[in-house]
Amino acid sequence: MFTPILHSQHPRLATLAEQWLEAGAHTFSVWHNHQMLACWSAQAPLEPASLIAPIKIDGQIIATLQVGGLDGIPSQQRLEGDANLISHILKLEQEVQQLSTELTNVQDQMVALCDLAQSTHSPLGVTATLQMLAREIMRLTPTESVALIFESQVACHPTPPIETDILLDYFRLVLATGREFVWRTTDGMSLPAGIHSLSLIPIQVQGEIKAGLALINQADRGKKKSNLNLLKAIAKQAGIQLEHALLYQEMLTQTRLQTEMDMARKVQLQLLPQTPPKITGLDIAAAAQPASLIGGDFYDFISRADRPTTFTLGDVAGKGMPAALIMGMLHSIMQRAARFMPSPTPAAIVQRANEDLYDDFTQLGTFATTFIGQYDTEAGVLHYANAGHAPVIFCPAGGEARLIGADGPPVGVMPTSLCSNHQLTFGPDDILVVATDGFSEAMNDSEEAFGNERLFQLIEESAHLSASEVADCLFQAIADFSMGRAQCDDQTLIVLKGVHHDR
Amino acid sequence: MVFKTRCYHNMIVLELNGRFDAHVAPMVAEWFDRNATTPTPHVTVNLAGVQFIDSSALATLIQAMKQYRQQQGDVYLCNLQQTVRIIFELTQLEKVFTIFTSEEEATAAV
Repeated sequence: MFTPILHSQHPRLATLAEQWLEAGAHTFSVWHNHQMLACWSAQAPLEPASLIAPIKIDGQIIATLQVGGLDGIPSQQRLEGDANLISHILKLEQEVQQLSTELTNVQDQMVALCDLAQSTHSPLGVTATLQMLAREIMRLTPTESVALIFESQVACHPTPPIETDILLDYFRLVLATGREFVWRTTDGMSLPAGIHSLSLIPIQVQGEIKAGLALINQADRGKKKSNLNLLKAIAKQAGIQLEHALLYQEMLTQTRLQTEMDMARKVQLQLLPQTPPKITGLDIAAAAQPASLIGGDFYDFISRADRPTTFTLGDVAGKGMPAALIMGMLHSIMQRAARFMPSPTPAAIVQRANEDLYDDFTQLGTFATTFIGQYDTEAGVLHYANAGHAPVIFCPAGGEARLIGADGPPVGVMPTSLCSNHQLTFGPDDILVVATDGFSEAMNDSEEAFGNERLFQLIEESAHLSASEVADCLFQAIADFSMGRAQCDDQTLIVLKGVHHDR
Repeated sequence: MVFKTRCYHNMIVLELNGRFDAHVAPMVAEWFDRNATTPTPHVTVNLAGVQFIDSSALATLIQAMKQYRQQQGDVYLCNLQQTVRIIFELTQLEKVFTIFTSEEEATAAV
C-alpha cells in the first residue's frame, strides 16, 4: 500500500531510483513504519539497505528512502538531499491543496449568502421573515430540518422531529452562554430520540443575542470547521434580515398610529363648529390651536329654535389623547344638557356636567375648567357661569379690560357644583374674550409667561377691530412672543363683540 | 424639583420647590399614593418654593385631596406665593382646599 501523500510523487521517485541504480546501487526503496511501500532493484534477492534518509513534513517522518549496495558519506548526503527535495515538494503540494479547499469553501459561502440576501430583499413582518429564512437556509444546507427561534417564536422548515419546547430549552443554553453548540451522537452526545445531530448558532439582533438558528440532523460532510463558519455567516445574515423586519414592523406601527392620530384630529375638528352662529347684536369669532395633533380644549355653540344660543369653552387638565377623549365626553354632555334640559341656564348646564362626570373625572384624576354663556339680544345682557375658567376678559366700549372671575371650582372637583348664574350688560363695542391658559401662560425664551396684563393691553388696542381680527391679533401676538418656541399648551378662544342692531 | 418631607404629630408636610408642572406631577402623585397607605392621611403641601403651577399639578393635588378625604384624611396647602395664589383664586380651587399661611398654622388647626 502506498501512503496517499506519496502517491503524487511516484514518477519522481521512479526517476530517482533509476539514477541510483545507474550509479551502482542494487536497490532503491521507500519505507513507512517498517513496511516497504515501493522498491526498484537491479538484482534479486534484495540486500539490506546500507543508506537511509527520512522524508519529513513539519518535523514528522512520513517515510524513509533506503539504498542498498552503496555506502560512503557522499552517497549518504546525496540520499538525504533527495529526501529533503521530496519533503519540500510534498509540503508545497499540501499548502496548495489547503488553499484551494479554503477558496472553494469561501466561494460556496459567498454564493449561499448571496442567494440568502437576494431572496430576502422584500419587506416582511417578523413571523414571515423567520419562515422565509428557515426555507432559504434549508435550501442552502443539507439538513433534515431548519428552525429559527426569535424570542418565543419558532419557525421550522419542514416540521422537525423534535418538540418545539425541547428546542427552546436548547436555545436557552445558547442565550445563557452566547456561543454556538454542535452536538452529534457520533461524538458520544445524548440527544432526543430521532435526532443524530443538532447545531445551534446564536443570532445577534440589534446588538444582543435574541435569536438562534437550529439545524436538525444535518448531513455530516466531514468539514466541520468550514461548515460552522458557513452557519455563522448565515446566522449573521439572518440577524440583519430580522433587524430589517423589526424596523419594518416598527414603521408600520408608527404609520398606523399616525393615521389614527390624524383620524382623531379630524373627529375632534368635526366636533368644533366650522362657523360661529349668527346672533343679532353679536360679532363672534372662535378658533383652536392644539399643542399636539389633538388636545383637551374645546369650544361649541349650541342652537335650538326655542332656546337661547349657548356657547361653551372648556379646558381639560392634561394634553394629547387622554385630554382629547375626556374633552369628547364633556362636549357631548354639555350639548345634551343645553338641548334637552327643561331650563338650561349656564349654571344648570355646569351642574349637570359636574353631576354626570364627577365620578369618571375622579377615577381618571382630571378636571375641566368651563365657561358657559347665553346672550339675550333683547335685553343686551350676557348670562354666564364660570367653573374655574381663566382667563375670561371683558373690555367695555372705550374702557379698560378686566378679568371676569369664576365663582365655582372646575367641573369634576367637587361632588356638587358651586357655580351660579351671573349677568353682564353687553352692548355695542363691548368685547368679551374667553381664552384658555395656553394664551396667558405662553412662555418666551426667558421662561417669562405672556400674562394677563399683556392680554388686557392687546384687547384694548384692538377694540376697534372685528371679532375675528381681535382673535387673529391675539394668536399672532402669542406666536411673536414665543418666537418659534414649541407650543406647550392648547390655545383656544372665543371672541364676542357687541354690534349695533335694530331692536 | 426638590422634595422635602417633615413629620409632625398630626400630619406630614411635603415641601416642594421649583416649577410644579407636568414633568413633576407624576412623581408627586406617586408620593401621595405611597403615603395613602396610612389609615387617615393628613398632608400639608408647603408651596413656599413654587413659583409656577400648571393644570397637571392642580389635577394631582385634586386627585390626592379626593382620595385622602375618602379615607377621612385631607390635603392642605400653605405658604402660597402670589403667582400660585392667583391661580387658586381664578380657578376657585381656594374654595376646595384648606389653605394656611404657614406650617405652624396648619399643624395647630388640624
